Amino acid sequence: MEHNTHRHPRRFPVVGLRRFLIGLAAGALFASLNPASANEIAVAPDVGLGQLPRLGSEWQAANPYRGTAAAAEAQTLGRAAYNGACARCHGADASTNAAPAPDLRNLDRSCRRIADAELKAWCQRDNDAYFIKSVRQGKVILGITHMPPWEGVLKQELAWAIQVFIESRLSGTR
Amino acid sequence: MRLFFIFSLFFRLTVAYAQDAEPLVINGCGIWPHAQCRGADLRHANLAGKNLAGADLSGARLARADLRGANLAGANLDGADLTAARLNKVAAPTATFRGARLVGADLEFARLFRADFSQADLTAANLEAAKANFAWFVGARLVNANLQESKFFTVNLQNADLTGTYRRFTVFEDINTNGCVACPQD
Repeated sequence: MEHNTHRHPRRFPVVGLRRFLIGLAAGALFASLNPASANEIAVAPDVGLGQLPRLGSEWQAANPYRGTAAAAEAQTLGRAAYNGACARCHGADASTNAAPAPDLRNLDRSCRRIADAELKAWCQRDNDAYFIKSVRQGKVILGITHMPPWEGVLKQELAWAIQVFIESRLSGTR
Repeated sequence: MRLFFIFSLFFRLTVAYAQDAEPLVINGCGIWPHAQCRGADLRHANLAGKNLAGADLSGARLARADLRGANLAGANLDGADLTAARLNKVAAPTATFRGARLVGADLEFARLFRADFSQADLTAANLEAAKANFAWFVGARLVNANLQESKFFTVNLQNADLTGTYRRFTVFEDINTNGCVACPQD
């Protein structure tokens, strides 16, 4: 009996500490997997605006760079901004459908199918409104932040540049 | 060779049909995904099978509209009037119907995962066999609604009113019933 009382005080703390650490690790893993605590934080990408026409503080309703002389630079800057801000969830270079978040190349898929030019432009304006609203307000569904609001973090110029870049990544499919 | 000819003929016809089928425009509302149709008058409109995913239909007038089998995933129908609308088999995951009026609406077999019906009026609506897993019905009015065989897994029914609902084979599992009137208690 006396022998046991000498052994136990030494072994219990070691086993207890090990269990505590395993429990701590498991808890941290669970917390990282739990959607309720998986809230993403918006961090501004380290990308300048280059020579992009400045848009001021009021948000545009439609993409001001698409089809203009600034589109090429918007695409370049948009790619850098995308990979700095969006790629973490939507996939690098907007070139994968295997990322956890939706494949953004499909956003204007329905508009691309429209043959009538006027209708197509209208559809694109609606799509632009949806895109910029999603960027500004994020995706908060039933209290869960699936995508953080980017307003106040991402400059408007870069938000539209990102859309120009995404649209440049389309495959040949309609 | 004959098979190839028949296939290519069919394929060309399909492509031609797809190119000719331009989307609808009803009362200033383009019927396509992400449509911006706040407050649009779409009463009695035939929108069966249409893709309105992500559309902004907040405050839209959709009384008796036919939305059977339509795609309303992520659409915003906050404050919309869907009185007696036909929403059978509609796909509306993560759609929001906050404060919407769905009196007598038919949502049979609707897929409503994570949809938000907070403060909506679903009086006498038919939700037979609808799947509303993870949906919110906070403060919603479901008086006299048909909930037969509908699935409510992990649903928030806080302050909802389920008085007079028909609940044959309805599944309630892991639900929030705080302040709910006539919610199942067992």
